[in-house]
Amino acid sequence: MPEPLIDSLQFMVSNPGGDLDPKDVVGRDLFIEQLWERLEKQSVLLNAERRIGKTQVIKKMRSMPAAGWKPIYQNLESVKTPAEFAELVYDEVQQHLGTKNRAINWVQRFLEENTAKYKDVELGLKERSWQELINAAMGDLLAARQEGKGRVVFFWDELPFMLQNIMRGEQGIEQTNTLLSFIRSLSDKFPDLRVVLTGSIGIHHIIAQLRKARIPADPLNKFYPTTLDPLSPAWGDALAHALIRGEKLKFPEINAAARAISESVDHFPFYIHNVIARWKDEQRNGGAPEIRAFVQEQLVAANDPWSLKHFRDRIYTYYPDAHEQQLAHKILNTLALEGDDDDPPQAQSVEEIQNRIATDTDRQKLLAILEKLENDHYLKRSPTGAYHFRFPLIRRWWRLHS
Amino acid sequence: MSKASHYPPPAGQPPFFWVFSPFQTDPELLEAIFTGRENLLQDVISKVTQSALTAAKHYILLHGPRGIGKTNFLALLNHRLRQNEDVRDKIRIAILNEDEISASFAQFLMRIYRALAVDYPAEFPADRLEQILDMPLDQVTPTLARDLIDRLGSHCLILFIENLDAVFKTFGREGQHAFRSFLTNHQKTAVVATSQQISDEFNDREGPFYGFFRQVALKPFSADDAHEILKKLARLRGQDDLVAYLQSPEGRGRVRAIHHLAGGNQRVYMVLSSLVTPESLDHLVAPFQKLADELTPYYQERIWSLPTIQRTIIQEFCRSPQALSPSAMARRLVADEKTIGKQMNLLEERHYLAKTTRGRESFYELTEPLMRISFEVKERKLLEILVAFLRCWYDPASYEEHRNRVITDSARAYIDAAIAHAANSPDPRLKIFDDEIEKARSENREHALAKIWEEKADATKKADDFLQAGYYFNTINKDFLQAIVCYDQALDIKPDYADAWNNKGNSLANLKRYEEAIACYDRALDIKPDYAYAWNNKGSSLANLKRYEEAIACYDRALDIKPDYADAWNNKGISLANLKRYEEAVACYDRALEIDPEFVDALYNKGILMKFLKRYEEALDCYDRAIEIDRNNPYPWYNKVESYFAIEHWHEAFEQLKEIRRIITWNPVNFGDVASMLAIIFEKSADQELLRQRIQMLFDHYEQLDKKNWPGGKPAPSPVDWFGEELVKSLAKLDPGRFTRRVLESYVAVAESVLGPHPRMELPLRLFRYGVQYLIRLEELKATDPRKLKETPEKQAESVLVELVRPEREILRQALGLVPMPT
Ligand SMILES: Nc1ncnc2c1ncn2[C@@H]1O[C@H](COP(=O)(O)OP(=O)(O)O)[C@@H](O)[C@H]1O
Ligand SMILES: [Mg+2]
Repeated sequence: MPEPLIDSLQFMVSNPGGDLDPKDVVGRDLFIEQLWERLEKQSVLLNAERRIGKTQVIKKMRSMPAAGWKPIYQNLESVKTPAEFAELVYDEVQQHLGTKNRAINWVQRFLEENTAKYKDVELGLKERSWQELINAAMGDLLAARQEGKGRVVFFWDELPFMLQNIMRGEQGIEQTNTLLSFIRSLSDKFPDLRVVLTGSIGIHHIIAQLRKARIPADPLNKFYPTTLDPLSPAWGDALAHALIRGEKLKFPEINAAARAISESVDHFPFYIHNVIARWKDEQRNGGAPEIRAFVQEQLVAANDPWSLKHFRDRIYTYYPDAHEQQLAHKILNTLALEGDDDDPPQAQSVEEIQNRIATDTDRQKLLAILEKLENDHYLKRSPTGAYHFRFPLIRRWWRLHS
Repeated sequence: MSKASHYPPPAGQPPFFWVFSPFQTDPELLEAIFTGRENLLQDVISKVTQSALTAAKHYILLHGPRGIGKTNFLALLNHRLRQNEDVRDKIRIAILNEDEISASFAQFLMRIYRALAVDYPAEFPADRLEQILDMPLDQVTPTLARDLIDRLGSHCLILFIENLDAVFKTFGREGQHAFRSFLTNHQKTAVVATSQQISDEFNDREGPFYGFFRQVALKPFSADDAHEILKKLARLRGQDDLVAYLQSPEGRGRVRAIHHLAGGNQRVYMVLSSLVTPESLDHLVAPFQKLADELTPYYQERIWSLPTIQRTIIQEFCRSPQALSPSAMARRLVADEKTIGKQMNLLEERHYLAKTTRGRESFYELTEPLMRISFEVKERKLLEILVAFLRCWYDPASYEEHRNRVITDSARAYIDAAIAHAANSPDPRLKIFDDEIEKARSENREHALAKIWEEKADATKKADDFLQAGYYFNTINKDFLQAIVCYDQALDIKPDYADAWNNKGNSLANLKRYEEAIACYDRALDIKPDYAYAWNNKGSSLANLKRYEEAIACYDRALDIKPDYADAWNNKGISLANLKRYEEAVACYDRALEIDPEFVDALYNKGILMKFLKRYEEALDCYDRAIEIDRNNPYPWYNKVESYFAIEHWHEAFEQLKEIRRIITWNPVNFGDVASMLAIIFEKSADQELLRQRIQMLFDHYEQLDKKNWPGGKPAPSPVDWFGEELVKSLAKLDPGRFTRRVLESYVAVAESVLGPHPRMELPLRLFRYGVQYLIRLEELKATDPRKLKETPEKQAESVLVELVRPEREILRQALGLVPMPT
């Protein structure tokens, strides 16, 4: 892990939730490097909690690609049908083809020939058409690249939103399945094409829905699954430090203040930005203790400014089964309430968990739900296989509210 | 120092403010009255600038209830950005105002294009939009989006969006996703949006805009902000007398009273400012009535836009003098509690209602007490009573304000010299000024003098003339800031001008900036070590910082130089008294009185001290001497009454009151410390019937004064209102040694039987009753095991007060000493 040199970070201004200048996206170099390495071999599925910094990471990759790569970023959240998706990809590819290529490319011809059919109602044809549109676009793009001997990576951000939209539409289940299989087939068809899919709402929920509809699919099994964690403590500190200086905040001890900010929000960069911005807006005064108290306020405030209640509520929507809901709550309660506030207890093994919640649920079921909780960013597994809360902040909230 | 920024030329038309649509107002005027949010504005500008110059893009949401100043802020931001040479060529601004609404993302894009087409027609030709609108429907949105992006070129689009929460509601999820993907895909747009509330759309973790905007709450105006903006507006309108009045302690008190009721709503002050003069502001009730009249349609519109059930709820709140729980409201509306509770919740989210909780109970009230005016007569009466009460409440008890510490200006001496000099001044231009000055003086237009002197000084560039101007700004116009500007100009010309340093110190001290004042006095004393005034004044600032020992050292220096300096003796006495060195203090007052036997301040100070030491005979002696000097001032009279009460000379006391009614023929601004008198009566009257009689007699005195036909002149608080206000203040003076439930409840019973029939006593009685309940509860809590308490007994006992509406609760909290009285 390259350690941050505080002085190497310029003065930074807070921008919670906004788009950052790539140079202000800090502490992600190692992750980015590993992702490029992984892309040499396969496509990637990046699933992580909201606002953790996925988009900033992939936008940084777009603006500073590894040698030989052509990155393309697309936010998919407003796409409602596979056909729209295809058009979006096609349009984007157009932007990247030189004018020479654009004029003679196959897609153009394809479109001209197929407009009639394309508007046709017959499903099979329509479906084939959107797939062919993408195939053609990718073919053209790679052909044009071939001359430069490069590979292409598509960053498809907020994929689950698109899938949810499609799912809601007519024949949603089939369409979603077809789309996912198609995306998976792209890398087979185009050896120089990679895809990075990102999203916060676990794709496993969508796949679970497909399974429920008896579509025995795991269309993304060829993707390398990965997740994004908060910053390392050192980078969290460094970020807080740079922001304090950039926003010209006054603290009795800048180092202690930076540490208090970063630590109290688990080095979550979004919250680091957030705390700094609020501190400034509200013209607060004080040092490390006041900062910690301020963060604590966010956890207990009745209006739940950080929407943390959602972590409890979403269990009801994520786990439709009442028994599962109960189990999930029990597990989280045990993991939250054991031990002290400040020093998170040792992770608990599956056996320990089973003993604590004193349930007669069989081990397989318990394992299944633990895995779900991990996929939904509640829990994390230690190298020994034991479980603990992924974010101490959420654990703190849980302790206060259960 | 540019003068224009202080006094924009009142040429031609008076300035006009579009209170409901600030974008129409001349931006220079917006600049001139901008109050309290400069830091935030700077911050937003810097974020927009970063968005314009780098890849970073900021998305900012300013939120706050109606009238808080959101649009005003945007209008000024717009103005600053368009003036700013660093960014204006790098950005394209599109303003989506609050009147138009977009039903879909497509309409939204179209409005953006339109807005750009107006300001940048070459880049965004209007006919291109027409072309796009002719396209097949499914192509319009993507084409519009692409066109916008292409046409922006390397510019950054700055989107101002009003009422974003409403926009999002009409968009639905679909439109929201479309908007967010437009923003993130192209990363060419920064957003500064406003919203009345933080609705779910901004915080829903499953929604597109979760954590996307930096949310900034616009803070309501504080009383000081309100004061500031009223002053700026008066200055812009050229109402110098109003500026001066606002600057006086009394003017400040009136603004505080308004703020207490109107809260931090910027719009209210804009409307109010066009309705007041010094006289009407002093009277207060009348401008409130006018304000009510002006704002009625506004409030009515707000209420009529609500669903019927919510409207009826608001209506009941307008009728109720107290805060209400959902169950109480349901009862009043003959409806189901659950339904009503839910609606009240919604109204709270929309800022119509404010909520306070006590355990599991919730009490609601109107967020803006002024909303009562949207209904007819009876509700308005409630408001007027409250206004009259607040007027008293925030009235600086005039003597108390001035009592402490006399500071001494230097300038008067120069005036005569200057006039003598002017008499043989050869310069005809200067003669004009001198004539003006003479004329203003002879016509008693003292307010005009400061400006004339300032103009003269500008012409002569003489340090002495700037000193004169400063002197008038400071002492007559009470415009301390402008006085400092003048003194600084004098000091630019003549850096070692000890008088200017001294006077500047005084103006700073008047602004309560004591540390800076002391630095000025030190400069004066460096130049002129034997400057007795400056020593005295420095002592006074030190004393205001409670650094009494150092203050005394300064007074001693002043007295070494000028042993017969009565002010300094008096001031020294005050500092000694504060250090509890009472005998020495008395000696100082006596010394001051030896030098100047008519020095009433010293007599009063001594009297206060004697009363405090329970040496009532000596106190009575001081007041008698003061009365000899000025028979018409009620202050020593009432102090005599109080002293007689204290030594239980009831008969003499009530005789004195009669005497006051006979002697005082003008409408005084001070009716004595009724709170203390009441507290003494409560304490010394064990017999309930005697207690009732005495309170009755005291109240009768004020009621008779109230009915008196005062000759014209300065309007003053009504004696009955004064009595009511003091009844509430007496809560803090009751003797805690006697706090038993039985005794305290007897106080309430007596007060109600005497004052109940008087309509204007309804509010003070309610406050007194709740105050007593608080004291009872407090005693109970103090008697319980502290480990069983969640908070301090004082905090916990406050739960008694939640049934009161907030403005009333605030008064009571001040009265009970739970929060400091504003100064
Ligand atoms: N590496 C980083 N360095 C600094 N700030 C970051 C970083 N990553 C994220 N942020 C902050 O967090 C916010 C959310 O990041 P984003 O990438 O949009 O989250 P996600 O896509 O995971 O929802 C950003 O607007 C920024 O304020
Ligand atoms: Mg994202």
